[in-house]
Amino acid sequence: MKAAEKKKANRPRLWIPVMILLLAVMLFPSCKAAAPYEQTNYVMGSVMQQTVYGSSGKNAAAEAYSAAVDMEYMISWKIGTSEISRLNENAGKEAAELSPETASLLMQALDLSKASNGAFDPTILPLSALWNFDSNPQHAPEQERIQERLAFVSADYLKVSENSARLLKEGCGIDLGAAGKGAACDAVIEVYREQGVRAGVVSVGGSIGVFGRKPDGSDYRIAVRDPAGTLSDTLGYLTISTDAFVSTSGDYEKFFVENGIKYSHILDSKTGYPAKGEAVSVTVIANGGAVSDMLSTACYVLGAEKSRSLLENYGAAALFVYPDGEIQAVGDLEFTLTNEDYQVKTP
Amino acid sequence: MRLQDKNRGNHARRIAELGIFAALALVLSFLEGLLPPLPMMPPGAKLGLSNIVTMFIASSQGLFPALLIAVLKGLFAGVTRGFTAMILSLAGGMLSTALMYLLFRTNKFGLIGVGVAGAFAHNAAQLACAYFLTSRTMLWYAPWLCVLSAATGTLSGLLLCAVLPLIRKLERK
Amino acid sequence: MKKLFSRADAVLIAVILLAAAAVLVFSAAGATDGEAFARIEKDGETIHYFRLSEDLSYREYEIGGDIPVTVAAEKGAVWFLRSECPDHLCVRFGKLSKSGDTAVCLPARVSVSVEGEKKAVDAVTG
Repeated sequence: MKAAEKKKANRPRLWIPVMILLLAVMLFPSCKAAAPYEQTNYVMGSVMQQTVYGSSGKNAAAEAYSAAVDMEYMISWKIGTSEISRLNENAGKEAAELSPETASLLMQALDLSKASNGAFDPTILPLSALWNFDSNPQHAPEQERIQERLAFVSADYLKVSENSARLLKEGCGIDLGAAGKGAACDAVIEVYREQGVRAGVVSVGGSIGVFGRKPDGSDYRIAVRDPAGTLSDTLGYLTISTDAFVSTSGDYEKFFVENGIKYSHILDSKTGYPAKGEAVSVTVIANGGAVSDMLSTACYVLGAEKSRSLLENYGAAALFVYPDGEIQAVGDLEFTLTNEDYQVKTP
Repeated sequence: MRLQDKNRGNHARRIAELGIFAALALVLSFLEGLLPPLPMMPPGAKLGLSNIVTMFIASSQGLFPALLIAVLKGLFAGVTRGFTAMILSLAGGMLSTALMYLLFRTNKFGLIGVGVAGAFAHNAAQLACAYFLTSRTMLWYAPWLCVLSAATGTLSGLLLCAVLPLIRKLERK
Repeated sequence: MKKLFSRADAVLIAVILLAAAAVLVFSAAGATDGEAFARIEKDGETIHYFRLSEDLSYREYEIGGDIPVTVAAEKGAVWFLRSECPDHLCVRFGKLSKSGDTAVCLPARVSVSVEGEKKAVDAVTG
């Protein structure tokens, strides 16, 4: 009697082990380590690469790409319908309404322009359009034309509020080329955050955004391109554990040579000519994408010594690479040299 | 007096039984060796059918007879498959037997739980040995072995549960 | 005699499976970069390491010792071809081609594994 009762009580439990068995068997094929999702697109005239960790990786990457494209359509002065184009058209007339994103980017640009004493200048468009480094064939403009245009380049002519901006003088114009790729990284990382991915790395051109910690616990390695080498040559790498943005500005990226003179695309808003940087490239690590992008331009123009306090203000650090093969770190960063042609300058 | 007699009779019977079960364990582990290696598993990872025998002995006759069978199995592996196989089998067999015995003693675990624990201990001991004998690559298998243990242990428990009534019948005869 | 399944069993199994899941999640996503490499180790030391490219011509690696084994490689795969070991488990592993595949000949203390190339860097600036 007792045994029979026990048996009865036992019987309904049988399905549990059977379920476990089935579950374990079904677990086997799914036991493959989850690989990060990678996606490559083209935006802002550059390659955009994403590596996203986490189950929502694919969706997040697609969303992030469209956010980057949206950013381009908001801030590129070359796109006639962009908010920046409208702002430029209305220069000297009236304020242009802006999306909060564009207004905030302009605000950051204005702040950084003032902090860097014009080494980075968002109102450079009259000059950059004159030099037009994307044209072919390329010529250095006449000095008189440069002098004319210089009169329109000053951050003082730009007024920004939370949802609008105004250029005070007709002929002024905004060019966010030195901030755009970094701003795209900002937008992408924001998408990662919203979508709840575990971690992700995005690069738009040479601007990089890093979100979260890599699932395998290792640090991110961001290689720094060798300014004198081919596209695949690197100097070494920066080690980053989590959330950070990296951008590089250098005279090797875009330039032309005319009558034996090399003209590089980073313009000095004071002279109207390409900046005569001491360094060939400057790589900046900061806590914002647009900020790191603008800082790299400003630091390139300023040089290491004058950059020190600016970087400090922004809690950023930079790596200056000199033509003689010296590499100088300013601020707190971890760089590992792997290229034998270079040496790290000890302070 | 009667009690002693009964014990003596049981003693002989138990030794005979143990011999039969030891032979059964060897046959099972030999048959298992004929199966193809399990995918994604390190060498030596098996269904653990012969574990059923040690499991039964551990529950019905106690720790030492069960360990005896585990050692026999290890020696058998040594004769047929070489020294490393013996080390692996001994380590896995003895650890799992000891653990299964302890779990039976607690009376909290069912056949499936004991089976899973035994399979887990077996695999863990083998993996540890393999780790020392070769290199770190083996650790890659650890999580898969956990899953494997859960499956094969459950299987062992179910099989033993199915076979137990038959053994009972035999014993009564 | 014994019950088949108890609450303690459920807890035990849950713990084991959770441990496995935790290890898997933790070790997941070891970023690999497409290309596969073969590593042959003897006594825990790498003695051969080569790219497992698709145009790899057939080759054999004789590995001496108390128990000699022969490892073969061809067209993106590597495998134990022959072994003097008693059980020949290593040979029965068959061809390895996917990153993570590992075969071991314990008696000979030789292991063969396929590894994905660990990504050297996550992004490039400049």
